[in-house]
Amino acid sequence: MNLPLKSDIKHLSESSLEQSTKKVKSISVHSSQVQHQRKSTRHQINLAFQKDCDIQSSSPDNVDGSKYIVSTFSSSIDVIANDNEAIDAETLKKENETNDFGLPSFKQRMQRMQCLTLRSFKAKQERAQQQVAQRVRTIIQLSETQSCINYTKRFLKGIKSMFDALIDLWYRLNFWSQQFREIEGHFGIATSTYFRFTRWLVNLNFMVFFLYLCFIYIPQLSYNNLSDYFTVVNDTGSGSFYNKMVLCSKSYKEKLTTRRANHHWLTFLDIAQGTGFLENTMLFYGFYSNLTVSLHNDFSSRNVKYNMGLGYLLTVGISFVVVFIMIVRKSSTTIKETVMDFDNTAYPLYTNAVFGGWDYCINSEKMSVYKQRIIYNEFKATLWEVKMKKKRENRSTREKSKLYLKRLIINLVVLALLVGSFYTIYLTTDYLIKNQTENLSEFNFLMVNYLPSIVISILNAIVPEIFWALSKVEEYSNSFATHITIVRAVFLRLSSVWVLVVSLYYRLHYKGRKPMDCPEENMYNVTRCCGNTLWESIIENDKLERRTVKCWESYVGQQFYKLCITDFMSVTLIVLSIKIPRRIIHHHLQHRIWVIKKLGRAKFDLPLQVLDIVYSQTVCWMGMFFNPLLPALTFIKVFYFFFLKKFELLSVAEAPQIAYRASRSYSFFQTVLLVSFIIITCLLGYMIGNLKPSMSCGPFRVYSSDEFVMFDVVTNEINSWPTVPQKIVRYFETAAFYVPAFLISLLSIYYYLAVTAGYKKMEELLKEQLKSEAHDKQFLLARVDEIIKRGQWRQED
Amino acid sequence: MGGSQSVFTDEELDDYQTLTYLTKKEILLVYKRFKVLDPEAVEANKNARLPLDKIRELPELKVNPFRDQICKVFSSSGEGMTFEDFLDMMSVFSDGAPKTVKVEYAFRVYDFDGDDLISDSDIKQVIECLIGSNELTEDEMHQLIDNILEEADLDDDKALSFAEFEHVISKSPDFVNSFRIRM
Repeated sequence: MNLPLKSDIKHLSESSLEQSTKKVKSISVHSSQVQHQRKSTRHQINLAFQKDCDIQSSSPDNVDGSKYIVSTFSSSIDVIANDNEAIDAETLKKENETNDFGLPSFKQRMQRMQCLTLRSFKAKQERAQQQVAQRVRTIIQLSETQSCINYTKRFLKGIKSMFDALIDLWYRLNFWSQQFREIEGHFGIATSTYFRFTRWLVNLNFMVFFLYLCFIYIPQLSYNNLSDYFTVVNDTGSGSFYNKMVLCSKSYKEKLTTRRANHHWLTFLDIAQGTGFLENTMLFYGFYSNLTVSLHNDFSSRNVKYNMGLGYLLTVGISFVVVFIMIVRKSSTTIKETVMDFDNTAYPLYTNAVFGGWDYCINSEKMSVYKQRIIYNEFKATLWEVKMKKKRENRSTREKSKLYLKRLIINLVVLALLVGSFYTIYLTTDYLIKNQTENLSEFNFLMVNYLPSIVISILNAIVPEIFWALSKVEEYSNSFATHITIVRAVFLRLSSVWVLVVSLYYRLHYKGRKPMDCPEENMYNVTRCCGNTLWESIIENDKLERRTVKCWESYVGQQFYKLCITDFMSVTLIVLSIKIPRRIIHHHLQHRIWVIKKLGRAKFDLPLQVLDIVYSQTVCWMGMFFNPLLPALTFIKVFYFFFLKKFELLSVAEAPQIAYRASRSYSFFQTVLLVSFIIITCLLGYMIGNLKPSMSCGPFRVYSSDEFVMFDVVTNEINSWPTVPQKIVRYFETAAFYVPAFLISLLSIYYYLAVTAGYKKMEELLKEQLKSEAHDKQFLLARVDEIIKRGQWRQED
Repeated sequence: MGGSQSVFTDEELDDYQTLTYLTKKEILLVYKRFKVLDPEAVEANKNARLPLDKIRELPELKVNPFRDQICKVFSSSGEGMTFEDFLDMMSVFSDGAPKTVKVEYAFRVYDFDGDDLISDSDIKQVIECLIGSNELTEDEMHQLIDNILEEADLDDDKALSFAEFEHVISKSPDFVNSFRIRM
């Protein structure tokens, strides 16, 4: 008998021993590395079976059932290294029993621990056993039919290893992991979630960009450059409306191409504002043609048609669906944590802080000390909160009313700030629109043009700081204060975009205002009638022709283009002109000037940083329809932000002071992203289904008369289908489909709610049961103690 | 990586891959990291048993307040770690390891006195490790321990058994995120 094994064998439970002993008697287990009589032999299981071993008993099924690998609870699977010597199981069993005579709780605990260990190693063990089974099969030379299976297995294994090699290659190519390792090593997981979020957005934008590339850019480019190969199918319209449309398109093109002399300053202005020659590029909606083209018959035998308008609309629609699916998929993985987060009774705040507190990724000494400080602060803060909570409960009515009054006032202030910011944005947009109709110098015109974007950026930089300051006065708990400030900042950030949209809508499409008169036969004015007639109505001076809005979609696109540029510039400029100088000053003067030391380096405030990214994503989605290159621009922008922020974090800013929960912030921003996405989808849906497209530009110009909307491109396509599919699609538009679908989804929501409630109840009951059983156990233990003591008493007597 | 490829036979690598949660590539990376700790000894014998002092030089462990416990849990003999011990450790800390395995090892890491229960003294030690040189007052410490026990100790025996630990950790979203070491 191997003596060193005793300590391990003590922990074996009887059941597994009995099972194992039966097998162990017939098969001796041979380890190739006997010298490793230690716990970690689990890596080196080299089992060879004695030649005389019964083939029947070592068939795979039996192999799985038997416990070659005797597991111990203290470490993990151990292979009993026993060189050609059968284990005397009876002795072991006895030893095991003699060790188990102690208190029941001890035994129970042992057994329980062993079960858990076994379970956790089950997966590994199974894999090991499978491997053993495979070896057995090769050793014992199976018959031909079985060797066929063997070959298939080998083949599959070959494929698997190839797959592994591919994964390895991907791993090597995946330069992101290197980035994350660096960030996690220095700042821990919570900070790296921000970068993971950014990377996810990079991927998302890339996917949308790819869709656009395939179905919008390439068709348009190939048509423009290789027009010899295509035949235009639908270029044969008639009637005054069609003629007017052709005329309008022509005058719009002329306006764009002949507008400016070639001058550097003007070129710069055009690039900055997306006007002039830039308006006539793939960047904007107006550039895209409305033609349906097909390849010449010489190049393809079948008649392949591509309807640019339909392609455009469907690509945008599919991109939104793809984005939606990606967001929902991503959210569903974090939603569990979100639910736990909001359900505070179930959330193990302290346990999470203590047992999930240390970040094992950290590998720098500085961050380690820093992390300890952060954890310490967190403990302090939570304990202080408990104290405050008690204090809060003991507040007098007078104090309470005072506090509520304070909070009310602050909420009013916040509301005023928000409304004020919205109004400022609205005013500047309005100012922009008004001034565009006046004769300004080019530079002033540029400034006026950028005014709304700049105002939005400035407001976004300043107002959240005020919110932070205000939240301190409100005496909320720390986490709640953080939350409410973020919610307010989110509100400001995203609403500013929506205010812009509203003011644009008011100018371009509001039904209550009177459009310019456009007599049908007025050929002189046809070029002005081409544009947005509401807009034209505010222009008095005919000479300002070039500032008219001929193509309102491109005009809206320009606004988002400018927002995108401003966002890009402001983030870069803030890092370059504020954070870096602050870092340098802090580095050199912190020991001399007290104020500078107190101010410190710029903080890397996670929630607000994520908000920046969410904002640029919102701008992208908003403008995606009007500005087809925006996904590509955003892709580059977010990619650039990733490295800018990494640089900022690693060498400029200070790590976040507050311990952010990795899961918490992440799921919160997923939700914000989803909400903003849904609102944008609704807005775009409204626009596509209700607004009149421009007559002089874009893929939908044939639908620019009063009775059409952009969506008609899809309706027309469906009308051209054969009857059966057409009927099927039509069915989806009727109430006969919507009402039952609505009811079914309502019912399923109700069902799942009921199931959730049931599980909650169940959880409570089980908890109760666990508690009462534990009490039973303690009670019984106490009785046993009592009896033993009494027995001792008697003996002594 | 060509150099270390030849260190292991294909069979060994296959075995390692089957028995851990790592890919071959990752196993070789782990070997590389192991070798850095003591190049000469490992060069001579790839299964060399490195003393725990050397193991603690691993950057992630060096700054980890639980390094002694981690070494204790993963070292098979208690006196040092071989490559296989090391591989086992990295496998548990890898992204591929399931939560159950991580929870089990975490339990052993936090069970300082090794009595298979995380008692209040264990919790106290965990907290002390976590906050390092910062100090909580006696009162605060008590409060904190009480709060943890209140959350997690279901049977009121003033200690966390594995089942209780597993239960409460399953609700803690940050645990799996933080209980890992990058290759």
